[in-house]
Amino acid sequence: MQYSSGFLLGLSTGVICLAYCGPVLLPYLMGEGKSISRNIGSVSLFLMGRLLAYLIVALVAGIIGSTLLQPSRTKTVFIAIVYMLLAVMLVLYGFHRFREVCLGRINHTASFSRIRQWSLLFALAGGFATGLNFCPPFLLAITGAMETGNVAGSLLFFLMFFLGTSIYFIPMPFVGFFRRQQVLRIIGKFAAILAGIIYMYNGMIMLLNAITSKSHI
Amino acid sequence: MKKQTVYTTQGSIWKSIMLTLPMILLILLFIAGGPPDLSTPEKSLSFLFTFSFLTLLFFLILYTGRTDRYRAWGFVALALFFALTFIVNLIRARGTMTFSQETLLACEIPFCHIVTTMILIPIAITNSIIFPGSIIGGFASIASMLVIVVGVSLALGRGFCSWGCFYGGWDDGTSRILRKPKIKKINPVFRWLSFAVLLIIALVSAMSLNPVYCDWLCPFKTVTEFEKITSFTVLMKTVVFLSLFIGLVIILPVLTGKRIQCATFCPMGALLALTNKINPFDVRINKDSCSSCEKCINACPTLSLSKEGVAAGSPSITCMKCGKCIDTCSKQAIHYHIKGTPVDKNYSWARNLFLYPAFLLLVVFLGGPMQSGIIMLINLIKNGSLIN
Amino acid sequence: MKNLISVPAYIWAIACLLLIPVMFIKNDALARQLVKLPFMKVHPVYSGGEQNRQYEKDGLTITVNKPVNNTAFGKGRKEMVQVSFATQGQLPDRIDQTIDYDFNNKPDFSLTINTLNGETELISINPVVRSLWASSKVKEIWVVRVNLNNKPRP
Repeated sequence: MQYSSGFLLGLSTGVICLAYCGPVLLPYLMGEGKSISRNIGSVSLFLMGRLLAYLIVALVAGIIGSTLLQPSRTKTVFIAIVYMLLAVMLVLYGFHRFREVCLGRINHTASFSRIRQWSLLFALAGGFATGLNFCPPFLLAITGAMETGNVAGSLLFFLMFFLGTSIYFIPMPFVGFFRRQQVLRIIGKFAAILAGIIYMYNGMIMLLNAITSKSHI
Repeated sequence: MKKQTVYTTQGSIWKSIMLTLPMILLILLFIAGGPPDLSTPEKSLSFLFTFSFLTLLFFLILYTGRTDRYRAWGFVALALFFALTFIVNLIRARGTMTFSQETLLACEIPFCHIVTTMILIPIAITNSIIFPGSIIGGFASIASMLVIVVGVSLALGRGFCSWGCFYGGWDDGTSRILRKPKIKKINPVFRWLSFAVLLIIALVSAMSLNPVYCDWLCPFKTVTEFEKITSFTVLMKTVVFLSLFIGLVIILPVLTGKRIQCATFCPMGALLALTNKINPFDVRINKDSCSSCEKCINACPTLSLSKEGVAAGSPSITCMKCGKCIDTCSKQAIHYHIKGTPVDKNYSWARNLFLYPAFLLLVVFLGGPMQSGIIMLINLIKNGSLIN
Repeated sequence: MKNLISVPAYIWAIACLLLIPVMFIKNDALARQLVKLPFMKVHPVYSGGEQNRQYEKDGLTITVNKPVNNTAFGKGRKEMVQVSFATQGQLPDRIDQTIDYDFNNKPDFSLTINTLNGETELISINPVVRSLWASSKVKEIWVVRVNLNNKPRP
């Protein structure tokens, strides 16, 4: 069955997804300092962002077919801009409420205020940006999706691929076990800023290559 | 009324001499590695100078009771002589400080202890080491350096950063240039930045199968070896590490009087801080003797002491056991301590049991480069050249 | 009780005192033991990979290694292949060879190497062959590494 192979592909290569998402998700979870149950919500939002990215790519793969696999300036510029936006978000997240974290004065009982909304939006956007990483398993998934021959099949294939990769994210909420360690929150904030710098550099280089390249990238 | 024990680190001259004698034998053993080579006047002079310097340092640490003051001399000498001999030997062998494709392809890049932070996750995943070095044999092979890293972690924990690291002497030295720092207040939260650096470089190195700290960030490439600039990317890398060296190793330590690179950026320091938990030695504050003057907090070069730490009687896990707080405390309330023993007893035992392995580490790393470096300097005076 | 705990604590401290000199004196022996562990090998991305085949042609011993994967986990597209050239004596001034790295009887790329100044030209015949990564003399052998897909190493 074609769609089960999507799940199996996700299962066999999902560790790569975790590796690419780790520098974004781990600092975020550490910086938030939430309990395990609340981290499940954050990780779920992050995964929803990834799923959104996957489904968009699946849709595009179903429509334009093998063209998606070819190097293209448009694709590179789009991903570069997404990386740079992710970088800005990471750095902003790192500085967001940093002083409170350092002083250990966190309002854990904050209601659904603007601060909390922003924090949740970061999880969603972070998942979306990291979901657009054209790593080898992702490229294989695009190939598999195209082989289904139609848009619906492509979407379903990517959904199964997503489910296979998401299994590796199950341990992530358990970072909340250490939430009482204020130091981990500080480290998480610093790590988010550093990850942001890395993504900004990668995005700028990709954009520069796309702009200066004479032919397809 | 409880009788307060007055503790002093200072030793009597005879006791100091007696305690120095075993170290003299160890110094001879490790700097000569057998019968000393006194075949030329230069070799004799370098051997005698090195031997005398190290013996005198250890004796003064014991006799005066001042640990950091004399440790720093040896530690800064280690950084300078290591860089001198490394660079000169490179130029003799290759004609340049840069390494070429040939060195990379031949897997002959020396394995430095900082690389350990980047290979741990890839070892677990790929069952191999992501570094173009020699597994065994040659200078600083992977196996021999890993043995040292494991041994030092067990024996001294983050004490390596103050007694053995051949890079740490750079910012230890620059942090002492100004008597009064220009920037007095530094947020101690920055001591946790090195842990974030460790986390990110460990993850990114695993992702890319590339030791990214070595490739992009290590400021000490400035004083060892670096990639030849053949592309824009390598130019960027050069700008980054040079800027970090100038900023974190020279400018900020001079202005703040703190070891900024070691305390806030080095990922190996963060990893060794974790090994402080499995190490028998730590630094403790006797709360009965402490007058809460907070001089130690200002003196600590690694931001490891805080009001909370002083109140609790111990610095944070980032403590590098340099001894500066011990030297600074006017009430002699701070001392080296062996975990599991009473905090208010047997200070001398703990101090001496710590000083022996710590100083020996300094001897082993400094002995060779100092002798070679002195010969090079003599050649410079005689012949006008370090290389020939 | 406190004195009882102190005894192993002091023993532990003395063990650490002995550990330092032993670690340096026996460094070579300890390193040789460490090398026996399964992970003590350089990743193929740096070592060039395992040898695939070796053959003689035009007076050269040509060694083609297995393509090396650059992904940390699972299998992705193959990234790099190493080819090396050796002779009995000195390397010729110029090496001109066509290489079939996967031994499917179809040439994949050709190399023209000036061993005097290191200039190397790669002509891609198989579209999967992308670019040259490295070309250099290593001891007495000339080593070339070729990128195989659209993810060249920096």
